[in-house]
Amino acid sequence: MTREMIIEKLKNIFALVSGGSNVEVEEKTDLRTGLGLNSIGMLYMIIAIEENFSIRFENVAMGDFNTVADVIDYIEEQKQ
Amino acid sequence: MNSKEKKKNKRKKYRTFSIKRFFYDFVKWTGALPMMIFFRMKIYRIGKKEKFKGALMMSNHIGLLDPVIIQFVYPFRRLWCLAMKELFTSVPLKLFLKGVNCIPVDRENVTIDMYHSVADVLSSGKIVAMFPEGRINFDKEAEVKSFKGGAALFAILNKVPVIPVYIVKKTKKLERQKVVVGEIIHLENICGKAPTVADLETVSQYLHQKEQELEQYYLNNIKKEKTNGNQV
Repeated sequence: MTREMIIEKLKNIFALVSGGSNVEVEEKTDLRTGLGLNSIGMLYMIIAIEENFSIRFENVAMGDFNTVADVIDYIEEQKQ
Repeated sequence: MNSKEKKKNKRKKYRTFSIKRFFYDFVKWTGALPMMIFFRMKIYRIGKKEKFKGALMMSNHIGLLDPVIIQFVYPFRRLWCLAMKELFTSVPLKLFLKGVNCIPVDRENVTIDMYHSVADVLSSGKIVAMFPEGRINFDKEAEVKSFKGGAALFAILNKVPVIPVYIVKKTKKLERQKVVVGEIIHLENICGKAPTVADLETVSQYLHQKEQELEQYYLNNIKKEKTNGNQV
């Protein structure tokens, strides 16, 4: 799975979490300021990612992810 | 599955004694005696009774002994409780808290492992207790403070009902400890299958409102009746 494919899938997840249909997502987008996610939103996003990508996040805190790129890196790592 | 296996599974399901949970059971039942003597708990149950498997118990947090008090709301069921991570720093306390079914929560930096632990417990049909206010409310009035979003998230994503519990603040030392248990709340009727963060906030407010209703119920019915009774 390429980074572009991951980001496309992530767009749907962010849209679900934030409730908006057109969410502008780039790799450098900040999860808190750019997407407006609080700690519960972050947790919800990670659970949604786990379901969509069939992976399990382990030993991860919400503070470990700052930008969309961090999330993509983690997904790529888990997928390998 | 043959009939022997079915019988075995049934027996396993209703087994009350468990070696794995021996420490928890031992602490709970030895602690029950001082609870009966010093607290003399009085539980008021409102609304219709319902059977449930996994559930999330939410309560107001007014003192250090609240996790102990709520253990006796359903005395014959084992309860898991969320406790702040700071309590798990010393090894003996850590072992004790883990033994009595406490799940550590980092309030500043929430971890996904905590969510997995809670989800595993709920999916196995157990009760998880939490205090959505986030910290102990030491105010004299002890009004229920606003809720954090965790309770709503856990209940919705794990599809479990919520049991609202209101612990009454004691005004006199020798007073009985009163606890009001509300009707079970099913959240699937309130928000859809794919809730947004905004929906979680709404549900959180709804749960807070339910907790306030319990407080009002206590003030308007139970407390009023008591004072009227004393006057007569």
